[in-house]
Amino acid sequence: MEFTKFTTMKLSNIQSISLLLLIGVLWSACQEGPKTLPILGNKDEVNGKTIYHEIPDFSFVNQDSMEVNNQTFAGKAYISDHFFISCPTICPKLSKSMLRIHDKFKTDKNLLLLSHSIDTKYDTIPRLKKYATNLGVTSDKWHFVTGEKQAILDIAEDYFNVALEDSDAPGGYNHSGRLILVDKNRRIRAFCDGTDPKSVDKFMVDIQHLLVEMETDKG
Amino acid sequence: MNRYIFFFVLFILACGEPMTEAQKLEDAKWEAVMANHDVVMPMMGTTNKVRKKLKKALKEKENLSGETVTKINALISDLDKADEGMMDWMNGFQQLKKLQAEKDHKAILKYLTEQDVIIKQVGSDMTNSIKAGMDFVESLQ
Repeated sequence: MEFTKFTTMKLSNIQSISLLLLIGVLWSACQEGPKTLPILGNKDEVNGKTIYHEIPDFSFVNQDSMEVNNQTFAGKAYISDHFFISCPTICPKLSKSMLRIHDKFKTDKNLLLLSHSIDTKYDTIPRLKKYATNLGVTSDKWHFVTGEKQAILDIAEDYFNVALEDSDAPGGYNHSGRLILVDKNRRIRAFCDGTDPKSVDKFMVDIQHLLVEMETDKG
Repeated sequence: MNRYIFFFVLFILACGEPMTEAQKLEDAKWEAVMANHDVVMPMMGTTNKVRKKLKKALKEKENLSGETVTKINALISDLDKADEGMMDWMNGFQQLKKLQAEKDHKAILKYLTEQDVIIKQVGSDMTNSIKAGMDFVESLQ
């Protein structure tokens, strides 16, 4: 009787310890350590060196009438999107997602935001300024830009094509909900569907990984 | 008893007023217009692609006749107008809440019906300009 009782207790303890160990192992496995994001887009091999696609030179004007070009983002990562103010469906969701990102990384000087308006006729500088002000954001963190229409459309294709597996996919702006993460070397490192909150959640984790990578590089 | 009435009223206030049949109809009409908008909007990327192909042909093809150059410019112009039609429509289109604040039910339905016709026409203009542009690019190959 005593032996049975002892054996039962011992087995119960072993089971408890095993369960705790299992939980510990699973918990450790689930913790994401530092992660290096892949470099997305086309690449070429030149003399044994991999050349990755880079966002080309650009020059636009922001809501404060200041020129915004590649130099504006020198040494920094940024999130890019394409929108227009009068868009009634996709773009409000996109702006909401961008605002989430803005608020989360507001104090991180290594991350900026860049929204291009593709409605160069109606989204004038004053209108972009009003839009930014209504969102409660300023151009030291989030640029709303306009410019020569073809230049804005061309660079949209550049960002979106890299984010697609099939660059001949029709539509183009059926990918207008994309948010693109660009690193300090002008390379695309991640993208998400800005109209899907869960996709944006994952994207914000990717942003964090890139920012950690940038800090590590500085060290 | 008063406590139950109090919580019942609180519950109703928290849930908000249920939509009237008129509002449901306006909502449905609005959604239908938006659905057509969402079909047309992605075409703007395609108009840009076709426009670029036409401009490239103008630049790179040698010995184009005057007639061909005129034709290409006309096709580019049609694509530009189709894009502009979309932007003009969107900038003029009123949001549902504003409509409901300013117009009566009959006027709202009339407005949304008219806008549905217009956005479909915008879509048609885009489709036609894209097809005409692509057909011409292929004919130059």
